[in-house]
Formats: sequence, C-alpha cells, structure tokens
Amino acid sequence: MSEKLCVDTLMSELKNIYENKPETWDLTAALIKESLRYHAQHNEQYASYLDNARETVEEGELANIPLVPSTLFKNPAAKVLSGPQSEIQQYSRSSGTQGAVSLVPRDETSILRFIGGMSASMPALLGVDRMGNHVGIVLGKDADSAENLWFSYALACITIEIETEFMETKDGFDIDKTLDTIGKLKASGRDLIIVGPPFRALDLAEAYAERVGKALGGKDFIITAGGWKGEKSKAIDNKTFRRVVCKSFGLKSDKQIRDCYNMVECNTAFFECEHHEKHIPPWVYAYSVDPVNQNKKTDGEGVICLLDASANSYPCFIKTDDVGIINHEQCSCGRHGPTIRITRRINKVESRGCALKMAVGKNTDNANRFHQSIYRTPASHPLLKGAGSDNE
Amino acid sequence: MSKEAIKIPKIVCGKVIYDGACETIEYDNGVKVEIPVFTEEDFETITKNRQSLHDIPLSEVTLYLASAARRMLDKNYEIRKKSVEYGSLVTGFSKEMIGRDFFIMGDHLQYRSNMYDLLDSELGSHHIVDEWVRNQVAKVRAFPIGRVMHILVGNIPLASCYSIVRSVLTKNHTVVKLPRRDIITSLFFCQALIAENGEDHPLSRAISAVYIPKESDLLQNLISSSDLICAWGRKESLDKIKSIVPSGIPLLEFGPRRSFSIVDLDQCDPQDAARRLAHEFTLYDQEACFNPQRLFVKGDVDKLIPHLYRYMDQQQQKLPKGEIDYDTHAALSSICMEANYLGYDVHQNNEKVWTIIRCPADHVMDHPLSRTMYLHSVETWKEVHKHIDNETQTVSVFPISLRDQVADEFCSRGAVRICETGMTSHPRQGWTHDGKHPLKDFVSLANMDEGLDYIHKYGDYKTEDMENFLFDMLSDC
Repeated sequence: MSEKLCVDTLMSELKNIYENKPETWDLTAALIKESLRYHAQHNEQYASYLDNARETVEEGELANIPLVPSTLFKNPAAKVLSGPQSEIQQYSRSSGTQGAVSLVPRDETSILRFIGGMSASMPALLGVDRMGNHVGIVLGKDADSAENLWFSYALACITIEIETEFMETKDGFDIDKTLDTIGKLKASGRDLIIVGPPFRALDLAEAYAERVGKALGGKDFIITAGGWKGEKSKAIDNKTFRRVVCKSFGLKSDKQIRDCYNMVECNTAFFECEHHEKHIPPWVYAYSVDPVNQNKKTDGEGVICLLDASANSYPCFIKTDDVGIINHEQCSCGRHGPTIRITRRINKVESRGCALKMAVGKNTDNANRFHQSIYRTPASHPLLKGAGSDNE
Repeated sequence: MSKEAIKIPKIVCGKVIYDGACETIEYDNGVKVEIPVFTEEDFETITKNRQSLHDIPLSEVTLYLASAARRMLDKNYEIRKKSVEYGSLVTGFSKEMIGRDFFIMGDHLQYRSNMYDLLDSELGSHHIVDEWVRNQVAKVRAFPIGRVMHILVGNIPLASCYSIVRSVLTKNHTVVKLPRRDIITSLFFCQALIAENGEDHPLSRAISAVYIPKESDLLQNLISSSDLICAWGRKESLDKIKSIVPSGIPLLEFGPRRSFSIVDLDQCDPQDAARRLAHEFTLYDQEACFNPQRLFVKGDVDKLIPHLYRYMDQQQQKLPKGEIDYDTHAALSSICMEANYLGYDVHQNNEKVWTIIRCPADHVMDHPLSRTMYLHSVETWKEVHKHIDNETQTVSVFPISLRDQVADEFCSRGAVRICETGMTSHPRQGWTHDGKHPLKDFVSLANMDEGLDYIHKYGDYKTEDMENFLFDMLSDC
C-alpha cells in the first residue's frame, strides 16, 4: 500500500469521509504504522527514540507508538525534521501565548495534506458545496501575510477552496470593512462562511447587532478557531458564546456556529458537526492518557494524544497540552468515526508557591532589566531568524 | 476521606470565632473547609483597635512567642495535631513535612536569644525596639509601623509563620489574609499564640487571621487601612495586589524566585554531597523559592548518581512526597518524554517520586518542580553565569569552600544568597531575605537629635558662637 496515495485519496476522492465505509476506518492503523515506518527511516533522532522505547510498536496497539510531546517543538536542541531540510516550505510558528514558540517544519506534502484535510472535512460537516454559493470572510490575514504564524495561516486556509476575502491588514483587523463586506455580499445573494478567532467573532457579532441588525440567512456559517489567545479576559463558555453570536447575527440556529480544533504541532484540523462534536478524520488516531500512569484511557477525561498520518516532514505523534475526551460512540449527527472534545489546557503556571519555575522562553517580561539571564533573554531559536519576533 | 467539611475559626483581635455564616472552600482533592465569613463588623473591630504596643518590653514579646513555641514541639499538642492533620489534607503536603515545620518553628522560637539575634542582625541592636539607642548625634528608636497586613501564599508552612513572627516581634498589629493554598497553618499558629498567652494579652488582641475572597470590597478596605502590606506570592498575585495598594502604604514583597546548586566532586565526598542535595531538592516538593531546580557539577557525575538514588529514596521515607495534581503529572511526563527523545539520561525510581535529568545546561526544558533535578556537567563555574539573574535567590555550594570563589560573580549578577548545600531551608543568623533585612520595613525608625550644646566630634565651638553662625551669619555666606 502506498501511504501517500491512501491519505491523499481519502482526502480528495471520497465524497464524504465520515460515511460508514468500514474499509475507510480500517485504514487508520495501517496509515499510522506506515507513517511511523517513514519517520523511523527519515528522522534519526526519532528512530533512536523509537529504538529505546520499551513497547513493541510494530505489533502492538497504536497507543504504544512513542509520542512526541508538543513542548519538544519549542526546544532548539530537538531535531524533529524527517527528510531533507531543502524540502521545507515553512517553519510554522505558534503564537507563544504559553511560553516559548513552537517551530514545526512543513514540506509541500504536509501543507497540501493539511489543506486537503480541511477541504475534505469542512464540506462533509457543514454540508456546503465547494463550488456552491458560499464565500469566505476571514477575520484575519491572508496566508501569504501570515508570516508562518500557524494560527493565522490555518484560519486563512479554512476557506481556501472557495472565494474568500480577508479582513486584516498590517494595520490590524478592520471591523468597518468587515461589516461593509458582509452587507455587500448579502445584497448580492451570497451565503457566507465567516471565519475567525472567537474573541474577534464576538466583537464582530456585537458590532453587527448594533450597527446592522439585519438577520443573516439560514445557510450562513460562523466558524471559530484558535481559542481566546491573549483575550482570556473576554472568554465565555461555548454555549454562551453560541447564544450571543447567534442572537447578534440573527442566525436561525446555533448549528450555524461551528468551532474548529487545531494546534501548530498537529497537521489536521478537527471541525464540529451540527451537534457541536469535533470529528476525527480517518487518517488520525486519537486517544487520551491518564497523566499519572500514562495508561490509555477507555473513557473519561485524559491528556489528548494525536497520531496523524498526514504529516510528512515531522513525526506527528503528538502528546498535546490539552485535556479532553475521545468518544468512540456514534455521534448523534449520524456520521461515523470518533469525536474529540477538549475541556481545557493543562495549566503551566510559571510559578508555584514562591518557586519561579525554570523555563526557557517568554516567562518573564523583564528582558530589559539590568541583570539578564538565559531565562529572560533566551537565545533565539536558530530557525527563527527572519521569521519575526518570538515574543509576540 | 470524610466528605464532612473541616470547620475552622476566624480570629479577630485575639478572639477565636467559630460562629456565624461560613464561607466554604472546596479543594480539587474533594476536601472542604468552612470558615466564618469576614464581616464589616470584624473590619470595624480590627481598625478600631489602636492600642499601642511599643511599650511592651522585648522580653515579654519573646516570652509570648516562646511559650507557644514550646507547646508546638509536643506532637500531641492539640493545636499542632489538628494543624498537621488539616494542613496535610488541604495542601497535599505529607504530615511529616508539616510536622517538621512545626518542630523547626517551635525549636527556633523557644530560645528567645534567637529573636534577640534576629533584631541585632537586622536592626543593628535589639535594644532599639525598647529604648532610644545612641546613633551619632541622635538617638534612634524603632517603633512598630502600626498594623501589618500579611498576604500569604501558603506554599511553605514555615514561611507563613515566620511572616507573623516578624510582625509580632516588632510589636505590630498583625492581620493575616489566610491563603487558600494553605488556610490552616498560619491560622493555627496564631491560635497557638493566643491559646498559650490568653486572648486578653495585648499582643493577642493585636492578632487577626481571616479568609477574604479576592473579590471582596473588604479586602480593599483592609489594605487601605494597613500601615504595611507584606505580600508573598506569584507574579500575577503580586501585580494584582500592587494595583490596589494606595500610595503611601509601603509594600514589602516576596515574589517568586529560582535557586540552584553547584557541587565540585573533586573537592568533596559524593555521598555527602548526595545526602545534602537530596534534602534540598525534595523539601516542600520544590515549591519554595530556595529549593534548587538544577545542579551544576564539576567532576565525575557518575560517582554522584548512585548516591542520589539512595538519598532521594531515603528522603521519600523521611519526608514523603505530597499529592501532586493532574497537571503536574502531565507536565512531568511530557518533560521526561522530551528528555528521552533528546537522548538525555532520565533517572527515576520505580514509583517515579523523583526525577533526575542529565542534560547540557543550555538545553534545559520547562521545570515541573515535584522533586525534579536537572543535572549539568560543567568545566568551570563561568558556565553558570548566564543562568543567574535577579530572579535568582539561593545558590547552594558544596563544599562550602566554593563560596568565596563564586560569591562575587554570582551575587553581582543578581543572586542574593550563597549557602552550604543542604542548608537552603536553614538560614544562619545574619542572613538576608531576598536581598533585604525585612524587619526594617516593619518599624518606623524615629530619632531624637541632641541639642547644640551636645558637643560631638565635629569642630570645637562654643554654643553661643554656633547659634550666631546658624541663625544670623549663615544667611550672609
């Protein structure tokens, strides 16, 4: 079996990847193991890590595959690249809201699969036709202006296969232009997919209710992604968010509001169905572990682990910093495959008691004080040169 | 574990109060604590008590502390027993860890000379809190600053008590904002002081210990009516406090800091070093600012590691590790995975109660605390310099002879304490706390000048000539 063909085939040729086709879901283990073999051959540090692992990976459960913690991508000493450096198209950056910046090497295959995965998932879950009447409005930058900041890049890619307008320039997010664009597009009879982080969607919703007030249509969608980032003080729970946004835009149902889960280290975005469950596509195997004994959980909350066969340029077998639940029962929407529900981030406070934890990265804002140290002014990651600030 | 809530009192001006409406505090481990609500009336009682304590002799103040201290040494003393039991449930620390702190505190305070030494060390002379002390052409006396509000963090039982001791020793009124993290230890320490000396003792009447939710208006009122805020805690907590302390009210802050150790194995016995290191890497499960988080070693590290295994395990027998939370487990496992990926040596015992990661100093990852040691081999101590800043507190050194080699370089870069390895939690008399002598903040140093007729070493003049010079001629100069 050619792994590349299979992942790509799943993404591009299946009409609905969440259909109940047992042969589709049977592929998951094979795809992950094929990916494992690939990275073992092309990534020396991962191969050595694999050699030292206690479990027999090839024969055993997928949950035996040695995981890469998401924090590893922040460590300049880590070599995560599988394959030649010359193939890398971008080092995707995290926003650094929890400390040092993650850098994830992505080659063309990985990027195309990330986009392909979204193009396969989104229509299947939203029920929109790629060639239909929808137009995207992204409350962020276009992909070229994202400067490898993954959060912006991923937002820009959500509606990549349909006509899309971008509402953020180098001067920032333009709410007036956004309201104007919504008005014009609705007047011309188009259906909208408005994509943005929740704090920006909330600001837009409030402005829309106040300044426009005309209800959007039943085929319009609001898609959120990226979490609250630096706007934690505005954060509200999901249900309240949907209620407020639904009311402000005059949507017929909160089914028109969907969230999406992704992180820079993972090569797949997970979209919600109309029942607000995030579906896991067949090229990803997700499970959760008990942090105390590292055992795979069969139910209840655990630390989320994602094995993603779509990444070609790095081993995407990630232990995340998120706590959540993987549900293997069929979703009430009728689609097949497991779902993932994130309940919270692992708390990584920089100090406990009066002990200031050692952490290289942005754990202090005193970089310009007289006494400097590696903690305050960490040596820039060698790969960050020319990639903008690592302290945003 | 019993689902029944632990009922604890509030203390208002020496009165230990169980009655009234209660606040319930629920902890992640299921423990619930009920404490009477701090009321407007309590606030009035505290602020109306303006009895000056400056005339209470130091001997009486130290006896006040010592009498309670002697009881704290008794494991069967009811207040200590309850404090250890409840404190362990609430904080997750082992009973042994909390009991040890009661012993240390009791042992230290029972010898009143320790308090005299502390005053001599920080204020120049213990006499200064009782009487006017000659100071050049003046006399100086340390008066209590007034009412000190202690905003505690609760990570180290000992530190909470010590903050209160500073306040009582300098004859101040003391208001303790009990920390959620450890609502027990400082409250029961105050209760022991009151129980052994009577609630009508003026020093008892000057003590209050209450729980105030951070959103309460009374917190702001209490802060605004204090004469000194002594605040401990994390950056976010201190930022919040700073934003609400009015100008004119001094703030003495003890913010978060890091510490580390250096050991030269060519100059010491590795077994002796390991025994000391294990002690200070495990105390308070590394939640204290003085706990080292990383160890820099000169010499053959392989000679040290087997001894570390033995003594880290031994510490687990003597001072068992407390409960660690879900997120710390998750962080610790991620860090071990990361270290394994990078090919570093990761040492843990079977129960994984401690972790040693041997890696290059510049490749360090996040620190999960929880009895974790990053161990780095170095050729020279210069390699340590870039890891020091003014968030660095203690550097423990072994053997102690290293002290004079490194102190100037380390302390000029921001470190504030060099001590012998093993002694991080046992500062010797004369130590400074985060670069300060905090007792200076607890007193108002008043002075009275001598008159012109007091001829000191300057010049040789007649009083009349000096009066003429100062009051008539100086304007012509």
